[in-house]
Amino acid sequence: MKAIDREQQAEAEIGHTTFSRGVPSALTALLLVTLFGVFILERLQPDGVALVDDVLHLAPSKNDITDTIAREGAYEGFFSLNRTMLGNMERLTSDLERSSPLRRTLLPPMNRFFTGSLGAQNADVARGRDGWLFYVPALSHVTGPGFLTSRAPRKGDPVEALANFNLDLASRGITLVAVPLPDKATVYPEQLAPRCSPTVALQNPSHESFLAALKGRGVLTCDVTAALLSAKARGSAYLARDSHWTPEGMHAAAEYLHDFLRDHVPTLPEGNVPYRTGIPQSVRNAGDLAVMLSPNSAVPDSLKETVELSAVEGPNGTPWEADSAGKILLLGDSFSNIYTLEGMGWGAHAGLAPWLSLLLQQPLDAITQNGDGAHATRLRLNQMLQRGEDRLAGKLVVIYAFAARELSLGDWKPDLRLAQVSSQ
Amino acid sequence: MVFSSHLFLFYFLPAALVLYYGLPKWTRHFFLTVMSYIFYGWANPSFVLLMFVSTLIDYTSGLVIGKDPIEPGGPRTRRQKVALLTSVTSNLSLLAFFKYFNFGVDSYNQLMMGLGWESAQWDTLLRITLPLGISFYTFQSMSYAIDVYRSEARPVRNFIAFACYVSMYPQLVAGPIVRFREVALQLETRTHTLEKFGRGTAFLALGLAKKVILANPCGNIADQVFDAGSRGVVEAWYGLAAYSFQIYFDFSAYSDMAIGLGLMLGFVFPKNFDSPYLARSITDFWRRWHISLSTFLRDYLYIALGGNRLGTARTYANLMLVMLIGGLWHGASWNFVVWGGIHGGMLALERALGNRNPVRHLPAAASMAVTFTVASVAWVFFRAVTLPESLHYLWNLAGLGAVEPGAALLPGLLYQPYYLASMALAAGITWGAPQTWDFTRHLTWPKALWCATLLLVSIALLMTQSYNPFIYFIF
Repeated sequence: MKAIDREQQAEAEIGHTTFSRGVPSALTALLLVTLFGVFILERLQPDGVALVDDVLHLAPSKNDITDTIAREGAYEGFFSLNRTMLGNMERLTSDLERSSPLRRTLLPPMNRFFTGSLGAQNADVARGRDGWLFYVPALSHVTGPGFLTSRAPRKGDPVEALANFNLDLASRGITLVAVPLPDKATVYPEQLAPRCSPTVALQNPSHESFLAALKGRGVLTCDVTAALLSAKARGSAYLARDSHWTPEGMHAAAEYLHDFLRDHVPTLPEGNVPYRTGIPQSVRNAGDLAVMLSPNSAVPDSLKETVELSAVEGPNGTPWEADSAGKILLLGDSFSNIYTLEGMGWGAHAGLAPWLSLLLQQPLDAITQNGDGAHATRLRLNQMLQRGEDRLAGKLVVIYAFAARELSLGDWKPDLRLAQVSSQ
Repeated sequence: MVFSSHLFLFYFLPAALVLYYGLPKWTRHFFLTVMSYIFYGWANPSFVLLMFVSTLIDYTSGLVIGKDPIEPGGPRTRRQKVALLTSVTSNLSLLAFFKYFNFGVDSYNQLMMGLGWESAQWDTLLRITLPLGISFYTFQSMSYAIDVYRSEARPVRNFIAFACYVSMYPQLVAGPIVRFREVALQLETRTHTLEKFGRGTAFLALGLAKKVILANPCGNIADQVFDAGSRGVVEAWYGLAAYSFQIYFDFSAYSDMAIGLGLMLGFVFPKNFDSPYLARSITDFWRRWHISLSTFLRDYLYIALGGNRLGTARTYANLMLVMLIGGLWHGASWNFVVWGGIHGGMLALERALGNRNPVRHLPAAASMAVTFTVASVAWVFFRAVTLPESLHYLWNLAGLGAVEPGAALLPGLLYQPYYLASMALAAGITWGAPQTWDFTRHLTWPKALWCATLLLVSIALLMTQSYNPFIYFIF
C-alpha cells in the first residue's frame, strides 16, 4: 500500500477536524468583524489617510516614467522609478499605522501596563532602579563592541572625521577641542545594574584607544567623565528621567572645560565681559525619556523633575545670547541646548554655552542642533560658509561637543571637509 | 509586508478576502495571483519581475516536458532532459547570483588577501540586493519541473494557475515549501467551508500570538546579548536560550499563519513544525524542524545523491553534503555553512553510533535537554554575524574570553520582569503546551475563546510594539 505523503496527511487531518457546535461560525465572524471593523473605523475617521488617492499614486505617472528615463536612461531610470515607488509604499504604510485610531487608543494603556506594571522597556527607553530611565541606543554604545572595530554600526571613522576637521580648522589658525559627552549609564551604571560600582565610569571598549588616536593625530580632546563623576558625588550629574545632565552636571563639565581651555589654548585671551547669573529659578518638566515611555499621553506630574538654575545675563542685564563676535565657537547637540533653548522646556539662557561665557567672562558663539551630533553642526557650519556667512571669522577655538553614543551610532562623514567661504 | 502588520491585517487581508469570495469563481486564481504579486512587490517592486521570469521559465519547462510521453520510470527524451535542466539551472542560477554573488566576491577577496595576492582581488562596486523569499519560491518552482519530469505531477496548462501556485501569498516569502503535485489537485478542486475557515482563523490567531507575545520579546533579549561587545556566562546562555525561542516561535508562527491563511482560501498546507525542541536526537530534530525544507532536501537531493543505498561512508558523506547545502541555503555566509556542518556531523554521528548512542538511553527529559543544548549551540552560528563573533560567543558560553566592563550593564537590561515572564512563558509553551495542529484538531468552545482572546490581545500588542522582525525573511 502506498504510504500517504505529508500533503495527503494534512488534507486528511483537516477533513477530520471536530468542532463544537457554532465554533467555526463564531471564529469566522470574530475574524471578519475585527479585520473589517478596524478597516471601516479607520476609513471613517475625518483626518485619516486619503487611501484611494495614495494607492492610485503609488506608481509613478506616465510623465514621471518618460521624464526619468529620458534623464537617466532606461537602466538607471528603472531603478530610480523603483525607489520612488518603494518610497511611496513605505510612506503609505507608516501613515496608515501612525493615523490609526486603534493604535492611538491602545498605545497609552498598553504602554502603562507593559512599562509600568511589567517593567518592560520599549525600543528607546529602559527602566532602571528607583524610577531611573535610560536611553536604549546610548546603552548600546556602552554595552556594545568597541566603536573603532568593524562591528560598530556607525558610518565613517570618527577619528578620521575629527582629524580632518582639526586640520581644516588649523589651516585657519583655529584650535579644535573635541568634547565627547558620556552617556548617563557611563556615570550612573548602578542605577541600571545594582552590582556596578557607583564610582567607576563604564566606557565603551574603544574609549581609551579613541582618546589616544586623537592625541596621536594632534586633536585636543577634553574628557569630562571625571568631572561628571565628581558632580555625582556632590549631589547629581544626570536627570533621572531624561537622557541629559542636570544643571549641576553641566556646571561641572563647563568648569572642567574652562580649565582645559586655559591649560591647552594659551592664545585664548582673558575675558573682561562681566557676565553674571540672574535670580535662581525652579523649572519642572517631563524628561525626554519619560515622554518616550508614554507616547500619545501626558506624563503624570509624579514623573516630572524639578531643577534649580540661574540664567546667565550679559553686562546690561539682558539674557545671554550667542555672539558671533566671540573668539570661541561651540558646536553642540541637545546637551548644549538643554537649559539654553527654551523650546526644550528646561528653562533658557542657562546651559553650557552661557555657562562657559560666564566662566570665561567673554562672549561665545554657538551653532547647536539636537541629534546627529556626529555631523549635523559641521554640516550647518559648512552651509553657512557656502552662503558667505563666515562664522569662523575671528575665532580662536572651536569646541565640538557631541554625545558619546554618536561614536558608535553616528554618521561621521569623514569626507565632509570644511567649506570655503563663498564670496557672494 | 509581514502578516503581523497593520497593513496586512486591516487592509491587504480584507481586500484579498473580498476579491476572492466576492468575484466569480473562475477569476479567483487570477485575483489571488494579482494580490500575491502586490504582497510580494510591497517589499520591492522590482522583485516581482524576477519572480515572473522564474515562473515563466518553469511553466514553459513543464509544458515542454509534458509534450513527450512521461511514463513513471520510463525513458526521457533529450528535449525533456533539456527542459528539466533549464528549469533547475535557471532557478539555481537566479538563487546563486542574487544570494551568493556578494558572498562569493567577499570570500574570494579574503582568500586572495590571506594568500598575500591583494592585486588579484576583485574590486567591484556591484552589491546585489537579496530579493525577498527567493530561496523559497525558486525551490518551490523547481520542484514543479522535477515532479513533472518524474511523472509525479501533470504539467499545468493554465499559466494563471501555475503563477498562483508559485506566488501564493500565504507561503510565498517564508514557506512552507509546498510541493506542486498536491497543490495541483487543490488548484483544480478544493472546498471552501466554514470549518476550514474557522480552523484557519485558529491557526492565524495562534501564530500571531506566538509571534507577538513570545518571539518578539525573546528576540529583544537575544539582540541585546548578541549585539553586546561581550557578555558574562549567565547572560550568554540566557541570550542563547532567548534566540532559540525566538527562531522557533518566529518561524513556526509564520508557518501557522501561512497555513491559516491558506485554509481561508481553501488550501491545505502541510505541517512545517512538530515541536522540534521535544526531539530526543538531532535526527529526530530534523523530522520536526522546517519539515518542508528537510523533506525537500531528502527527496530532491539526498535520494538523488544515493541516500543510504551506496554504503556507509557514502551515506555519511551524503548527510554532510545535504546539511552543508541546507546551511548555505539559509544564508550566504560561512556561519551558515558551519551551522550546516554541525548538524550534518551530528546526523552522521548518530547514524554511526546507532543504539550505542548514550543519549538514546537517557530518560526522555535528559535526551531532550541534550538535543536542545546541541541545537542551541549550533544556533550561535545562525545568529552571530561573523565567524569570529560566533567563536567569541562560544567562548563566553564556556565562561572564557574577555568580558568588557560594559557587559556589567546587561543584567539590568535583561532581567526585567517582562523579559523573565516572556522567557518562562516561552519555555512553558515549548515543553508543556500542545502544538498548533494538535490544539486545533478538536476545537471546543473554551479553545475557541482562547484563540479569540489571543487574537485580540495580539492585535493590541501589535499596535504598540515597535520591534517586529521576521527572521526567516532574510532567507
